[in-house]
Amino acid sequence: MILFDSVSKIYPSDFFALRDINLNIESGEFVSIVGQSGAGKTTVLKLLTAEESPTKGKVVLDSYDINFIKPSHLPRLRQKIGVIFQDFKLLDKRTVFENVSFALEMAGKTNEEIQNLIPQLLEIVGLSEKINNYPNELSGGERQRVSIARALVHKPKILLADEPTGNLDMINSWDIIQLLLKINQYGTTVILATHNREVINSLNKRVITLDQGRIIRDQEKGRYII
Amino acid sequence: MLLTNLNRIIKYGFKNFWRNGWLNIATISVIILALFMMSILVMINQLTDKILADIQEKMDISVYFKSEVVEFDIQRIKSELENLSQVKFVEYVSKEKAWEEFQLEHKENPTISESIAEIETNPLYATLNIKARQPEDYPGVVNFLEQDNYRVLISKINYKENKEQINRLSDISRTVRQGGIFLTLIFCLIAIIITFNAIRLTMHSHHREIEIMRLVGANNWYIRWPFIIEGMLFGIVGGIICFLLFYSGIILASPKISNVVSEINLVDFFKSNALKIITLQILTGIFLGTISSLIAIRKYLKI
Ligand SMILES: Nc1ncnc2c1ncn2[C@@H]1O[C@H](COP(=O)(O)OP(=O)(O)O)[C@@H](O)[C@H]1O
Ligand SMILES: [Mg+2]
Repeated sequence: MILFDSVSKIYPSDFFALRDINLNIESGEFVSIVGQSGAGKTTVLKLLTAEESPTKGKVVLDSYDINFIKPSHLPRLRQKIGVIFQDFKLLDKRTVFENVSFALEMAGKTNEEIQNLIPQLLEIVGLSEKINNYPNELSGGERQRVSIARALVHKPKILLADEPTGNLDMINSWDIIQLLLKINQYGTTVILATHNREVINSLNKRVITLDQGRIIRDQEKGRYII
Repeated sequence: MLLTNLNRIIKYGFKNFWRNGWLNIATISVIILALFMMSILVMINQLTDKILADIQEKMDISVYFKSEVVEFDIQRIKSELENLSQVKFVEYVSKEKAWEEFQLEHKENPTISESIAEIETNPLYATLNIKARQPEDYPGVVNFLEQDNYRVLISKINYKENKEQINRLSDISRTVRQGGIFLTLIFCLIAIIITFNAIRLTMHSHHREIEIMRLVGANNWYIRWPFIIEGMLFGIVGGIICFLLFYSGIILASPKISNVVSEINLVDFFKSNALKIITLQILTGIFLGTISSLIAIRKYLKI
């Protein structure tokens, strides 16, 4: 479902962010991408959302070849993908409900559908109680759950998580990882970029290790080793 | 679905507009300034055109022929005049016609009609009234008539010479047109640049929303439209305020201008053109706002 074929990414400053990446990820997998800061993890995710395009090689997601995607197809590609970030990217002046409904509105859902869907989404991430709170009234873990609820509005096939636990303490981090595992069990492919050693070592899932833009290890039941 | 989207787009447009209070005031002020300059220039242009047209309308040459000159000669001169390229048209008024018209004109006035009744012979001259195509053509026509073979037949050439005034106005009109177009373009450009920056600032305060919109796969037009609507609202509000300011300005300035040039009544002129003026101002405002929005949002939609 996801294929990187000899992919290199050179940023305009002639900087090699990725070198000759070959990668194949099946539908339903839970894959962690690990590596130190600057190793190229975010770049891998940005190639998938077509925010960046590969300098060399081919990136394929489902039937979309990222090199040749038409701008008019971008929305459809991105609706297959949910994304969450270290800094949550929530709208501070909007409540939990409004943050999620904003995404649903963008998806063109009717007000009635939105009223039905939001309780379901918040139920999945365990935030039903906080529906009318503002982000600054929530803990870091709770904020990340709001952003996960928002990422799920399209029932995405793929969930990309870029350092989702970077700002969280151990307990909250573990909560979020549990939630990602649960979403994965529902059938969504999860790609988790992180440099959190404890999380990786307790997951016992596939781990791809990047170092200076190269894949140096790709293990079925991997551990964080650098 | 379409209706829901339309509804939301307009709602977001208005929401964007109402937030960022001071920034909006600044943006609208710049639009008003640009529109105001443009309006003044257009107005001066229109006014000078109108005054020029009025003066040209009134301008003519009247040639009075000696009483012994027969109609045949006058008709000959008429057709020669008509062959001149400078001449627009020539009207022949016979002695009798002139006399009739004179009597008709003064029949309400007892003293004049009484004295008219006492006169037995027609004291008036046969006349040719000549209109030239351009104000600067009149001297040529007069010169033509001053030739000896015509001059002997003519009693008097009456040339209402408004040349000074006309030349002055033509100059003003030309300068206003040339300078005006240039200045208007400059001001529009400045307005676009400033509006563009202001909208970019408001957009910056929405950059997270735009980012999220893109992430969840919102269509680019869905992202663009609220900002375009915001830009349009800037233009509409700017246009309306500019119209009101302009109207007040004219009411204040009109008496002073009428003192200098009595033929000009700015208030009347403004009123009879009010619809045109407000349409022009609002449309230009919308144009400025929309263009600026479209340019400003490009940056955020790159990816
Ligand atoms: N837009 C960019 N322009 C230039 N260099 C970039 C850009 N984005 C990332 N980089 C560089 O590419 C390298 C990989 O970045 P990234 O993929 O963000 O790493 P990671 O997410 O693993 O920390 C870094 O050295 C970073 O400085
Ligand atoms: Mg990163």
